[in-house]
Amino acid sequence: MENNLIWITLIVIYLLLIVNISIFIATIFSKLKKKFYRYRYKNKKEKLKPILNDYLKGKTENETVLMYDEKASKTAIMISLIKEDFNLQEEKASEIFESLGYVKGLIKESHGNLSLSLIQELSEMKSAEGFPVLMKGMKSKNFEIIYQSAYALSFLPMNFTQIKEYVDGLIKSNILRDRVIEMVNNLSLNPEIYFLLLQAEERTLGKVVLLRVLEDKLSKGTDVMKKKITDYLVNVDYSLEIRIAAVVALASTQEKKYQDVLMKQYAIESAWEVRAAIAKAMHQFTQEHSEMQVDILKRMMYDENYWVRFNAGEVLARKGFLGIDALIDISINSENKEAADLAFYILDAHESVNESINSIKEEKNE
Amino acid sequence: MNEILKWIVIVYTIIIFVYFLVVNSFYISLIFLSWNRLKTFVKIAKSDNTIFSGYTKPVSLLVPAYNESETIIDNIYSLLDLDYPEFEVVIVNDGSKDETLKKIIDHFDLRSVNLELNTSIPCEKIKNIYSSFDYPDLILVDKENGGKADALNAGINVSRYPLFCAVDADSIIEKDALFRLVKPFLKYSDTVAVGGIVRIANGCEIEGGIVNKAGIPKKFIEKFQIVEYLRAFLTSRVGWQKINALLIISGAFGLFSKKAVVSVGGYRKTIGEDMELTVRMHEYFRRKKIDYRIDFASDAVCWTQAPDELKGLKSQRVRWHRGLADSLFKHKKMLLNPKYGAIGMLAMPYYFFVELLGPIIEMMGYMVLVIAFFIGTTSITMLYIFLMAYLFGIFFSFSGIFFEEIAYQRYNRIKDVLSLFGIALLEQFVYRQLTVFWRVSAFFNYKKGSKNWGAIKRKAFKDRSS
Repeated sequence: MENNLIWITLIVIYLLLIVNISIFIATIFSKLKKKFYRYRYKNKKEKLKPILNDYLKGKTENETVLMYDEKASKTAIMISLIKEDFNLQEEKASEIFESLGYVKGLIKESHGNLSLSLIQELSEMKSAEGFPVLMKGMKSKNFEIIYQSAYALSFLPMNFTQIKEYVDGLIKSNILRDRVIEMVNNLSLNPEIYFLLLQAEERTLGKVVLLRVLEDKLSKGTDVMKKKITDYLVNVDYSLEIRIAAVVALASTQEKKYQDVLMKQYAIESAWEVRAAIAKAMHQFTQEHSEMQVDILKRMMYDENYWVRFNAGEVLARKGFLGIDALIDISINSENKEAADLAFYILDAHESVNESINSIKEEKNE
Repeated sequence: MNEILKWIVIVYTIIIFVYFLVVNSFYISLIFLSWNRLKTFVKIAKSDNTIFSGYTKPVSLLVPAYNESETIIDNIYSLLDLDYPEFEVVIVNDGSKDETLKKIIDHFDLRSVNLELNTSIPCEKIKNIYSSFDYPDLILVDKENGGKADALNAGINVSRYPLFCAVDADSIIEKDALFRLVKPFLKYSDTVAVGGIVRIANGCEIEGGIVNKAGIPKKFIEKFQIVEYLRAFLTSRVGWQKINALLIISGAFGLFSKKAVVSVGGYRKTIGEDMELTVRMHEYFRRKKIDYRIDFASDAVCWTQAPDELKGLKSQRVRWHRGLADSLFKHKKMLLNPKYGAIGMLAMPYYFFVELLGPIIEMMGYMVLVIAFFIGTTSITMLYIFLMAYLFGIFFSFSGIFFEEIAYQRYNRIKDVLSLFGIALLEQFVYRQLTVFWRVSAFFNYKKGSKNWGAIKRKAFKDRSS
């Protein structure tokens, strides 16, 4: 038995010796290889730079040197040169990548295996030709491929049919909602197109995403659009998420008309979540520090729900003299302890009070 | 008598051989899992288009501090300087006896505020909360002493954001580390916690709370710890994450969903509160059959000061081992319990039989070797087994260094990498036996341990680069 034990141990010892020495050599080799790779990359880049410079000026004698040749290092160098060194505009850069065969080359390569690095390269090139391949990536079984393809697509120029297909794919995917909103936002479409998508969308998630995307763009939208979004708010058949998204979108217009719509809705609203969203949205209407607005925020400070009161207090703190005066009034004179305590806390601890006081001082000095 | 001792030596030799085979099979499987996960992770990280996207989630950084006056100001500056769109820094002074509180108040011109507290987890009395108009993202909580776990619970109660990051007061977070740490939360809705990698700051060039260049320190005691950390994080935690069975999210740097932590009752006053919380989260979510994910972001880096004296190192290791014992005994019902899946059948047995009991078996091995030497029965088999154990130890350390080089290359110079290999060879002598001895003594005295703060002497970071 002892002999067997010795043999087994000896074999393991020899194996471990070989493995340890191999790991050591592999690590040092990897270190040296990376140094060599960096050196070669730098050299190659320096060689390609003047040729690309000539090419951009219209001299195409050495064009073949710049053409796609399936070498990953050359693709990386070209991306770095075009995007960082020459800092070309997106459209121009895409055009160059297309004309030098990079987009078609990568697409061809991706038919075998759409890897993460290929997706990243296509994303850098931002060519419309990459759409079908990246859409295929969105249907992959690998979540990382879906995720990166979806993100890469969000920067690509698309026609309306492609946009619909893309947004549909996003809503169906497992990608988290806020990231989907970011991706749809990255498309940088005009409000009318987002609105068309919103109208065509039937799923709650889709509607919420598109309403959230419209937040920053609705001020440039038409009255018809705003009217329709008002419907999303007032119609209680829509989900809370949709109604809250509609509150935020309407507030983003900063128009007095929609401030009135929100105030009116607050008065009759039974869902505290919507009331809290309206209270918070009052911050958007910076043009109107009217007494009426402060009055309604004061009323909100007595709402039965804490979050409505809290949001109203926070907005009052940002409303300059009138807002601070209202908070002091509630803090000192109110018999409602909850409202008085909240007002005191906001006056005492909130940095926006300080900002308001500073701006009042500045106004006085002027 | 001699015959009995000889018999004991032979039996123990066989036991230790079998034990080594089992343990090392575990280690080798972990290394393969880690290798597999690391390759994928690096591929994803290198080709991630979303890394600096504007979409993030706001984070509360909780910094429990006890007698940290030496490093706290530097540390706060490095945190306030983080490259992240929305975050707050909540410093919790846990009844420090030194100048920690005064230093922070004076330096940042803080004022007392009446903050409405959302006390979701019980904690010792909060005496005062301070904030500043100049640094609106900085909050200082002054509370009665209750230990690190209690300080973290107070921080959770005061924090505003849905995610919180527990950070040690003696650590430096890399500028983009939060972006990396938060990524799993932006990708998977069931993420409840993400651990970052902790690296040793000793020997690095540090300026203004930023690590400019990684380096190897001069003292051997510090060098050994670099190899240890690489091994622990890159060949172990990465592997456990692959099967969602990571049992430790380091207290020095981990991001948690506040909702998830509150749902399990927050931190408990134990010696190793970080491990205990992670184990409890596994227990809770598996028992309730709720989908969850505890992730590990090996590219999110936090640099920490390693003890540079034996006394400090001993205190740290004894604490860690007591914490390990405490966490495992508290949740022993999961051990070999198939109801808990990979946690019950793999992670818990590994931590119990390898990490917790391993030092005892190893210690006994050394004792048997000494006995065998004195009674003249030192067999060649026994020496071979010890040589095999030594080579296995080197194999795990070498793997850690190799993974570091393949994935992250923090140590730029070949000289540094060679030095790490040399340290890995030396680590097996004296240093290893010393840490084994401390861990054994910690195991037998684990209940006697204090549940308060460890006493590692801190130095200001500016003194550390030499």
